[in-house]
Amino acid sequence: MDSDTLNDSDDSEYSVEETAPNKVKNKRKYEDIPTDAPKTKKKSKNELYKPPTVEELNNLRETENLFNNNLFRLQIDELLTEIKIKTKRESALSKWLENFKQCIKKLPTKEIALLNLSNSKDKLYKYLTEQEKLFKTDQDVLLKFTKPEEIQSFGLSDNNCAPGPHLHHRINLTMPSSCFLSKDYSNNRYLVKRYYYLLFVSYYLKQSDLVANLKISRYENNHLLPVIELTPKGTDKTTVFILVTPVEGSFKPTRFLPEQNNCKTDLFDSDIDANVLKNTPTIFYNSLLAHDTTLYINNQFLKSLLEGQKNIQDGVKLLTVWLRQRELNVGVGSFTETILIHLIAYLTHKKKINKFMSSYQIIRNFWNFITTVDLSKEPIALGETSEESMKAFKQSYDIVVLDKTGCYNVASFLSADLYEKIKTESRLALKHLDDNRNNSFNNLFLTKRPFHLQYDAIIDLTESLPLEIDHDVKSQQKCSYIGYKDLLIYKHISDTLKRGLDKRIVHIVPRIEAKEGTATRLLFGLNLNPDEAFSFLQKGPALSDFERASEFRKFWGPLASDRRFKDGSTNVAVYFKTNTIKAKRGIVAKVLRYLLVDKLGLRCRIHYDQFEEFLLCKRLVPSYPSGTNEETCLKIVLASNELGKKLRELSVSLKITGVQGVSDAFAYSEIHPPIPSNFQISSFTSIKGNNFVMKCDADGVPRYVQPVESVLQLEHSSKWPNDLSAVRHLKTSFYLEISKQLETDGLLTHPSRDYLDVFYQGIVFRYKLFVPKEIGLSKRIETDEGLTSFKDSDESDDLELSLNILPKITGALRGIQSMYPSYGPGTCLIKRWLRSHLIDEYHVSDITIDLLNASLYLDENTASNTPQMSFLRFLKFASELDWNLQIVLVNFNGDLTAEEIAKVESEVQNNRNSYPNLFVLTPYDRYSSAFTRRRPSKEILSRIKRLAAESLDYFEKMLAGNSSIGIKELFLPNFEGYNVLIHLKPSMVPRRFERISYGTVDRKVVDKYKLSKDDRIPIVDFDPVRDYLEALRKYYGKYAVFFYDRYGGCTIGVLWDPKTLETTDFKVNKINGGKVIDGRIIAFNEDAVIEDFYVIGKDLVKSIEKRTVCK
Amino acid sequence: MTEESVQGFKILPLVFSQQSTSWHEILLKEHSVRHQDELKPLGQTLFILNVPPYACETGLRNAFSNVGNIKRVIFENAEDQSGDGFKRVFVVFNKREYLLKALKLTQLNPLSSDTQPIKIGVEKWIEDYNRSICDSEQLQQEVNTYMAQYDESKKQKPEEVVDDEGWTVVTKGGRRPGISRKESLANKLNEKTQKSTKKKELKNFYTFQIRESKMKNIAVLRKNFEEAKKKVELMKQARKFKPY
Repeated sequence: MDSDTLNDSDDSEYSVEETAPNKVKNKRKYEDIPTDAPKTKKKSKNELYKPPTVEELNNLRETENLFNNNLFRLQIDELLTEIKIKTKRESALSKWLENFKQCIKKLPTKEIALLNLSNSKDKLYKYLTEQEKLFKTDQDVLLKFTKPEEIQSFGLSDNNCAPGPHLHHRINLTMPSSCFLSKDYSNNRYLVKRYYYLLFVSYYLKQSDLVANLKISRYENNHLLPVIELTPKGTDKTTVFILVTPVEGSFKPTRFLPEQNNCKTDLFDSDIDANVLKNTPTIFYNSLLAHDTTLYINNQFLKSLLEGQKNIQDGVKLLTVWLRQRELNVGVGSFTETILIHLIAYLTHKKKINKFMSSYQIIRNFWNFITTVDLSKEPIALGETSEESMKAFKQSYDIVVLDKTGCYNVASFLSADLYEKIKTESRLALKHLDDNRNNSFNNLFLTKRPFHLQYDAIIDLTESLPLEIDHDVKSQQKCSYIGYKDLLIYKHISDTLKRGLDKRIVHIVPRIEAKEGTATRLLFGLNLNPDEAFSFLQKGPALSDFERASEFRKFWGPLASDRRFKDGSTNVAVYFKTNTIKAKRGIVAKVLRYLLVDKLGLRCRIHYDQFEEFLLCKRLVPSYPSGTNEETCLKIVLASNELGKKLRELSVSLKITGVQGVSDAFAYSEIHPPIPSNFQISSFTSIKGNNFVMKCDADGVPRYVQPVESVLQLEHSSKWPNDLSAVRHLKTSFYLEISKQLETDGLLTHPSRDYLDVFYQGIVFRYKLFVPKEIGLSKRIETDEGLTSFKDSDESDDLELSLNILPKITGALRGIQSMYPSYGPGTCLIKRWLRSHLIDEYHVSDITIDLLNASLYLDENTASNTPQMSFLRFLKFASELDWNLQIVLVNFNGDLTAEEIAKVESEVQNNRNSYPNLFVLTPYDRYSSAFTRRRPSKEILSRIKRLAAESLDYFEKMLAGNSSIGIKELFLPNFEGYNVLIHLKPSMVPRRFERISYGTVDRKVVDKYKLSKDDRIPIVDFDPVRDYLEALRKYYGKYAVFFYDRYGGCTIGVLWDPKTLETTDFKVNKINGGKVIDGRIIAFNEDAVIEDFYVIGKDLVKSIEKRTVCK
Repeated sequence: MTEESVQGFKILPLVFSQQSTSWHEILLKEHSVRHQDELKPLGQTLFILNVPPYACETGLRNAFSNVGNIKRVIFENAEDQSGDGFKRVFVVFNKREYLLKALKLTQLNPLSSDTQPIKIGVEKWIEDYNRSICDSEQLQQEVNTYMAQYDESKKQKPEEVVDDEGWTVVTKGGRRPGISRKESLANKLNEKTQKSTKKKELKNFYTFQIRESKMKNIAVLRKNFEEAKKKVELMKQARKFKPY
């Protein structure tokens, strides 16, 4: 073969025309080729176009019909495999269960009267007496112990519905009916028998070698439902819960319908009248008994329903993950797995779910059901139930989901408030599915939404546990709550809060964590209603409605007052006097304190607005009332509008048609907006024309005055010259023309080559002209053939960014601010935090932060009502942001269509390295992520991620009360780890007033601005520190990274690039910044460069500290 | 400070001022390249490497003030965005003997001298700021003169040029100026022709076309699937699917 081919090639090369056999040979050779070399090349294309198999077609079609999209399906599959319980774990458990059954079958038969228990010398009885005594009864009972009738496994894991990695297995042991007398259901007799039976089982389990660890805990946090919680030997990450219930037929389930009474004596020390008790239905007590009685039947029913339904099982798994991520299934009164599984059963029963549906459709239908059906109004039942008994249930419980027997309300203990929250969450989940975005799966299943990030305010009542509140409750109500008096107290607190907060809130959700039946942590989460939450008036009933008015007065105590309103009506009302927006936000906290502390006499901690302290500028305050930046920003916006009106009315050669703000102050996201004021001459300044200028030998600098920038648009004209420089000169002449006209109006102006400054109402406004032609011209390149082409250059991009894109973005951000007033101050808080950690404008620009936070506000899931929540949610977002995988979408007004977004997403994903590290997609910058083009760098992004995660972690610890230090630590920079620290002279830092103040500081009040003839335009936008950093980065950016807190920091941190410190062999292009050692090696000339830092920052640098860093 | 050299370069320390305690090592050598540049005449030009960022023309004249007259100083910086401020400098002396003298130097004067100080630090920034505050009259004047010049230069362009052989150049202007030669326009024209040819095609005429379009449909589905798979793979790598 080898020689053959050789011959062939020879032939074809040397003899062009040959005889037939040779041609045949040639042909064969030609055929050989495609099987060999180019196979790999064509593979990808062939793969796409090869005929599909039936299976593949089905799969593709199924994805289209049954799932959202490919990605969603794959993600579901991936998640399901990830949370699958390991087979190893499962088989270990089933092996253990066999042994367990053997052990249980060997249980001896014994009996003893309760009263004799303590006198007995039997080891078992001794053990029983040693245990905590949970229940009292009205009479002595005979405890009969024998092996259980049946051992039933149940729960999610048994039905293959439980997500891993931990395996929680539930077992139900049925006590034979011979253990009971017919009337044992009443007065705790059953409960006592059950409890001792449970202990009896636990005793023998402990004796056996099956158990690694065993304790008595409570089933689904119900303190009257003791359960054995044990870790089986020979398994890992496995927990087994053992419940004891009466065997079917021991009690009639109808005995526990809500109108029945099953507890005639006060066995729970509730201090109630026995006569009342006798005639009152014991609602929750009944539920408890009904639960036990029906457990076996219900389990059988559910098992038969879910058997082999893989998709439904997967759906339940997903929903459990969803609940768990939102912590909605934690604590007393939560949305338990029992409720979940019954609801799924109900949907199957009603044919809303069937086995042909995909898991995606199942979760979708579940959410749809929760969103559309209000269970608090429409009770549902799994079996046949008469209308009457439904009615009875509805009257007794908040939410009614009746089981198969129709006697047990599965949702008895579900708190109505939590249910409301679940409805909201379901609605959001549906929205996520409809949005069909890349990260909707992430948001639904993969990200944790811990309690403290779900609510605008959190009330922590843990300090006042155990709760003892005197409240006048009808003893009848007390009776119906017998056994569950804590529930009544929670309800009372929640009702009081709801009454006091009224329309201010949408949700108030309790979170009660309990251990062994006693509450260990009591929290309430509040979701505010942004329209009403901060209203300063709470109107009560009219004065004429005497009875209700006096009730209102009684409720509000000293806060209530009688008021006459503009429309002539007179009402009793609560009025909160406030003069700042911050104080308005504080009203909620005020109401809460009044209700909890003054009214209910509780000790509490409220997590609501602590962080706002960092928004205050304590060193420099305006003369008008102001809290955060909001008041000053408002003043600026108003002044800018007035001045803009003036500008538009000018008669200049081309009319000014638009004035668009571009400064952060317009979106309220400037933490230190310039305070309107008069400026006097100082020891640093002298006068030049309309302006102050610096004295050359000044030994300090005046405080920083930021210009408020806007872009001017002119009416269209075709007469702009075709030359860049000429256009720019014409722009200058426009500045001069506008300036002249404004001067005749008595305004102070300063036109310069690139902008026009106007001093108006104590604020410096800076205007720049937007001439579209200028951008076009700056892109023009003439090619060699004389063809004119337009190419984006850095210059043209920057120009377009600042004059065309930025105004649109700022406008859109203003829109967000007016929709969500917390946006501005929230963004400020983020900036304050990030800058505190020495990550300055250069690393992450202000506008980038604005956009990132805007992306959170444009998503209903993460839009916040308070600055603090905005900040915390940003931390969460930043700590989870996978900038390499996902783009940040800032879809203002929904301008971008889903197709556009998908296109950009896949484009970025496929060519990840040619796009910015952090890709921010907005409708205004032609998908270029214009603001993050050069930075942030990967290193900075990782650092932010780390910082955010740590800060959040710290905050969580603080919430849990484990941290002794305050939140101030979150805003303290860490100077460890830098190679060099440059200390600046504080007097030369113009932003020195913006530093965070700890403790008390000297306050300087800025006098109110008054129009005066002596006014001059102040030193504006002069910041030597900024200039210094600019120079450092320009000259040494390759060798080091510089860190600085822009808001008044006095120290610059320098970190050498690790490459800088390496030595290299001598090369001419490597010599920069180096020194030569031994005539052949280059080492970095560290000392000289450090001295350069000193030279460049002459008069600004106080000292430079070189640090040795241990690696 | 001992005299050192490496690969033909002479190494000399350069300090900013008399008070400086550390120095940069600059490398110098006679400028020699094949392509001659009028601005950097051979034999008179000194080529210097590793000149610190703040060195300016005055600074270098100070540094070589002992040598002799300097004709010009040419800086070659790295790109603006690179964050490397160290420069290559060409110092052109008036005479060759100065160059030779310079190469024999054992010590350089500081960049900033008392008589010719380099403005740096806060002083420089103050000066920059004060300069940015301009007088509107002056500015007006400046703009006016520029615009006058510009208009003048526009006018000077002859309306019609008749060359030696009697041809008239007719490009822009004229009664029918033709298409302007812009890239965007050329692209537009191309698109137009493409569109018109596409319009003439019949899409669902032959069976193979229908088959192909079906195939394409499947290909798109497959491609999406592959993309999604890739994404999930990436997420998997990032351990995204560990929900808790």
